[in-house]
Order: sequence, then C-alpha cells, then structure tokens
Amino acid sequence: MTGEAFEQAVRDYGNTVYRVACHAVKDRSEAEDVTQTVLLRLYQNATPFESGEHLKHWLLRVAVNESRKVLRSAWRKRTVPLEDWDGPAPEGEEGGVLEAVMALEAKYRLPIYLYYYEGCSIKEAAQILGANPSTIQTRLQRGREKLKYTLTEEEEGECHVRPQIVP
Amino acid sequence: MFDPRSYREACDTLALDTEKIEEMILMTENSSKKTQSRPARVALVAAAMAAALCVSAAAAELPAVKEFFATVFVTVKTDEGMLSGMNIPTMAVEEREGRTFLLLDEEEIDVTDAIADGGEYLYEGEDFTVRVDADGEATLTVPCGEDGKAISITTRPGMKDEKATYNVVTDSDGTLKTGVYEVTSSENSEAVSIVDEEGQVFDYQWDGVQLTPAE
Repeated sequence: MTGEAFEQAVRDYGNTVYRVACHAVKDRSEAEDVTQTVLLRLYQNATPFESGEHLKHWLLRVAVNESRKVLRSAWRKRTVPLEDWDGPAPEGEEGGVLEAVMALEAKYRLPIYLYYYEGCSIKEAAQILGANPSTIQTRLQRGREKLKYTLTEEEEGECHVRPQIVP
Repeated sequence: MFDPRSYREACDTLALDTEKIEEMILMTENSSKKTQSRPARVALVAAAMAAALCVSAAAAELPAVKEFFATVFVTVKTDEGMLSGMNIPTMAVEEREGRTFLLLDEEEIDVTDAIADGGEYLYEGEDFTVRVDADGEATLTVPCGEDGKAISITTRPGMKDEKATYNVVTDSDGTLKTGVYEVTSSENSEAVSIVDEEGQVFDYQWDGVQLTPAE
C-alpha cells in the first residue's frame, strides 16, 4: 500500500478499528495497541483492495482477530482482571447505553457493535467474526434481551419506591 | 429499552485524537522501515516459531464431547532476548442435541450444516485455520513457508481428564518427538532445539520450510 493511500485509510477507518478493539478488549490502552498493530498490517499488506467496503471489511476482520490475540495472551490472562469499562462515556442516556453494552460478554458486544453501529448485516457480521449467521442472530437477540433487562432495571431504579406493608 | 440511536451516538465518542492518529501513522511507517532492515536471522527464527505453531488437534476417539485445551506456550529465544511468545487458542468440538459446535476461545459456531453440505467446516482466521471434518475432528493449522509446506504439531489429547501429548510431525518424515513445549534457536539460528516437558533436548535443522533431525 502506498504511503498516501495508507494515510487516507487511517484517517477514514482508524477510529473504526479503535472502536472494534474497545468493544473487544474493553481497555483503551490495549485498544490503541491493537489499532497500531492493525495499521501496521495494513501498511505491509500487498494485496490491493477492490473497494472502500472491501478495505473496511478487511480492517474489521483483522481488528477482531488482533483483539482476540490480546485476549488470549497468557500475560493478559495472568495480569488483567475483568474490570468494568472505564472509557469515556457521554452523560445521560447515551452513556448508559454504552456502559450497558460494555458490561455484556464479548460474544454479545461485538455482534451488537457490528450490527448497530457499523450497519453490517448478520451475514457480514458472521463473516467478520468467523461465526455462523445463526449464531450471530442468536447472540444479537440474547444481547438485546440482556440490554433490555439492564436498562429497564436502571430506569426503574431511579424512581424506586420501597413498597410498604399495610397492616 | 435499548435505543440503537443512543448507542450510535455514544459510540461516536469512542474516537482517537487527531494527534494520536498522526502519531500512529508516523509510528507505523517508521516501524515498517525498521522491519525491512532487520537481519535475516531474526526472520528465520520468526519463521521457525510460526512453523512450531503449526498445530493440528484431533481426538483419538469419537465421544460426545471431544475437546482439548491447547495451552502450549511456544517461546523462541534469540541473542537479543525473547523474541515472542504465543499461546494456541482453546478449541473444542462438542455435540449437543444432534448438532455439532466448534468452540474457539469465546466463539461458539454451529458447524452442523456446513459439514452436512460440504463434508467439513473451515474457519479462516487471519493467521490460522480450523478445519472440522465429518468425524468431528478439529485441526488447527498455522501456515508457514511460501509454498504452503509445513511441519505440524499434532495434538492427541485423549479424553478430558487424560494428559494431552503433543507430536511434532513433518510433511514426510513422520513423528519426530512427543511432548513439545519449547522451541529455542541456537547460535547459528539454523538449528532449532525442541525441549520436551521432561527437559530433554532434541536438535533439528530448520531449512525455512520444515524441521529435520540434526545429524
């Protein structure tokens, strides 16, 4: 890839890669490392891309795979505790939704991100994640159910009134 | 309720600073140049490590649940220190209610239809492939060498509670040694020592494609 094409690709899709990595590894610093690795692979990639969509699809797939490498590294397994997402989240409803998604298991987070943010079809998300479309469909459904439960519970919790026993 | 619009707006805030992006572009171009000028020896050792990660896994029997936990940690040492360490993804094939599932790290893939249609299921990762055949055996392979030739490490885990063994196999020569846990380059970097779990060292020659026993 030429330097000019590479720079344009980074400006167009750098944040896309970063967002995938954030959803996968739930750690901003590691997500930046994953982004850097993916960009290096893009720079060294000799195969031409047929279109912008082809490039984006390739980047999403590599980002998912590089994130998985980080997740399964022995060092991370030994040293990184399972923490809540501590990244930036906007205040209000949007922040609550992002936190709720980040609180889901990785197998639900990534399909939700690809489907709802990147606008991938179930088939495309399945290809990117290397999974069967029916599996992705099931995970989307379960993820939505879990989000519905979490977000509804939060809304109710804000105006929670303890029921009183009337003698 | 989950509102996709709110979620998309929240995701928009997950973005790198412009300065960070520029920094990454610069770092990538610089690090890429450094890679090109690295000595061939390091590349050779890296290739050896990639070859050592050619892994296939197969269950000896055909139980309802076939699984192995491949946690072999392969390390290549060079004069410059530890080159890298990688571990192999956890993989299992499970049969439930008449369906066959490939469990790959956190992924659960229903491979039943693919096997019924084409006789096998092929998972193509970015740097490895997993093939599940009609018998439910899963093979994880990391390609190495430009012509696609590769040595492979075959894992025959036995049943869940039994101890797994690991066999290094060349394309043509058959099994070299059971119990591979570490690959270490020697000073001339053309020899690879494979150390088994008992600490016994076995020397091989690496020709860029495959390992052969050292003379």
